[in-house]
Amino acid sequence: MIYSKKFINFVVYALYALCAAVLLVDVFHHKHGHFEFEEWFGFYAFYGFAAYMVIVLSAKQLRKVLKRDEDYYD
Amino acid sequence: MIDFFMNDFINHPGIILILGGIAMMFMPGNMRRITTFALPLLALAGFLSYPDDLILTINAFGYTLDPIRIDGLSWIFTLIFIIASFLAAVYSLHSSNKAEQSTIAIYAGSAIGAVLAGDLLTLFIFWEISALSSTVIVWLGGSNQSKQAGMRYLLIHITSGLLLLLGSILHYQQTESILFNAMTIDTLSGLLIFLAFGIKCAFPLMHNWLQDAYPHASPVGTVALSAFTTKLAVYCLARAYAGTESLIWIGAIMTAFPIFFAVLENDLRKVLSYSLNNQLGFMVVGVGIGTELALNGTAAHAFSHILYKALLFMSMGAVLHRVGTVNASELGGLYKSMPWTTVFCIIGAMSISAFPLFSGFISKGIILYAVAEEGHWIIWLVLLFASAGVLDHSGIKVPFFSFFAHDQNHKCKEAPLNMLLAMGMTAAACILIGVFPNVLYQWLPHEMDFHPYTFDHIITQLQLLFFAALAFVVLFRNGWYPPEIKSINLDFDWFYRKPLNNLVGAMTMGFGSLLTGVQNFKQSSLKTITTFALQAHGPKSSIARGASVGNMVVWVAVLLSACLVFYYF
Repeated sequence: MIYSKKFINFVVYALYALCAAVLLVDVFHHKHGHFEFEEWFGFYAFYGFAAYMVIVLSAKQLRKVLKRDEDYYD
Repeated sequence: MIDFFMNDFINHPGIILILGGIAMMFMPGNMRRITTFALPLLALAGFLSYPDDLILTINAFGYTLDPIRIDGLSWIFTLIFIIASFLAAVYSLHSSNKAEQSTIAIYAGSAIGAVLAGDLLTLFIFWEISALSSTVIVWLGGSNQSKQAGMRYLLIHITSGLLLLLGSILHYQQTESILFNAMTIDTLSGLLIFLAFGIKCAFPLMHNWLQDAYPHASPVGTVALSAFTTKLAVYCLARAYAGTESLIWIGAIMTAFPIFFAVLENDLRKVLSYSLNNQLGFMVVGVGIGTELALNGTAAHAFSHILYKALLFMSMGAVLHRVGTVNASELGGLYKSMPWTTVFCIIGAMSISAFPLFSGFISKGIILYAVAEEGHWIIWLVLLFASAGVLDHSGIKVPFFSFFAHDQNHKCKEAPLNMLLAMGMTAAACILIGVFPNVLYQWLPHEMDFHPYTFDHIITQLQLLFFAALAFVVLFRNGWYPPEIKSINLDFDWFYRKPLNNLVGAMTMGFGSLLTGVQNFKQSSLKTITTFALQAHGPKSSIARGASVGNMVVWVAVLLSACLVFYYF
């Protein structure tokens, strides 16, 4: 069931909708943070997205240097 | 007086577990199972019979010792250690591994004994028992890799114990006190003890024993290991080094760098080990900040972390138990065969990712808030960065690649009933704390004035997590997400497993030829000496030549006449 294209699309669009909803809150609600940049529009959203991208893509580059066969130490 | 001591020691939860664990080795199957289950409950009863603050002072070996000290900080760590030992015991009930169940009880007991220790000698004794018992748990993993990883683990933990011992001796020489209280890294003794704790806490570059050993223990063993050693170290740091600024930076590095390894790692229990390392970083930052709020954050995060990390290791342990592997490259689609395990794993994943209503949200939030209060904006950004990373490796990768992703058509049974029960209880605890944070907050060492469920906190956390999840969708759907492949990744342990290993090998060989050289020299020089000695002292040598009696008489006569002559003059 969960492997059907329909279901996967449902999950993905639900996530898009959730993202849009939580970002929209920033339009109407003024956040109070410890730091000035916390109050920028969508700061947490963009930071979360960018951090995730940086982590995964740089790890992918790191793999080129660090990857070895499973029996490397044997 | 004696009665008072005896009562205190009989109720000591650590000693109950250690003695019970030893007794379990000699028990038949069912009796041992009942004891496994009952021991943590007995320990809890013993612990709750103590007052909330208690210092038991004795004089022994000429020292003033506090073998039991209960205050706010040791209370909460002891409580969560007892809870963890109970959950691990339930998780182990299906097992017929006698040695493992009793060793786990001893290990949990020693960690509790160390937390309750108010002096360095008691701490050292329990520190070493925990090192030895946890090594046995790694060895009981049974594979050849478990043996080797266990040996490396033992060496590193013995080093930590030696540093603690040396530091304690120096500390005693300087202060004439062996009590375990606040210390500073400005003295040599303080620095040595700091390093001893740092090794056990898996500081950067001292961390590899964790990722090396934990994935090689049995499913039950890893659940037990994940709870105690490192959190004992966090407790010790909080006890002795609260407010030490370098801990802020050490902790921040710890939150960040294991993430990259976790993304690449194929063995999902190793992914969780890197993730454990990253979670410790948050606690260490809290200790480094050192304010009452930050220390509360560290204690709260240790509490909720022990639960959700145990839950995640339990779910992967169940997969390993049923499927025989936890390599992401060989898993997928298990939600069909193991639906309950899937649900529990997702609860653990949401807790560690700090979704609102789950335990991580109400504990990690305290630390981030305390960091911001002190104005450390770089550290705060690093922790937020690491929070996005947590969502990747523990929040998405672990459940997604084992239970969903590409269906590998593994046909297996759901986890055994006792495993499901343990996971169910742990999952319930994660949600309970998440929904009712005051259950946990009332147990924290300091007064608590922090409200996790503000509109701002909920909405900013959801923005961070949903958009990080969005990044996963973008990466995965475009095929940019690094595929799960059969491989290992080099980490700092390479230095001692390859070059150092080769160096030791070369040195052994060098030492070998040195030994042969010495042997040869010894033989040839011995030969020279014997030949010479034989020439001088042998049967045909001049010294051995026999002199006639007549000669002797002549010489005696000469000597006597000489005496006579001297006498007259």
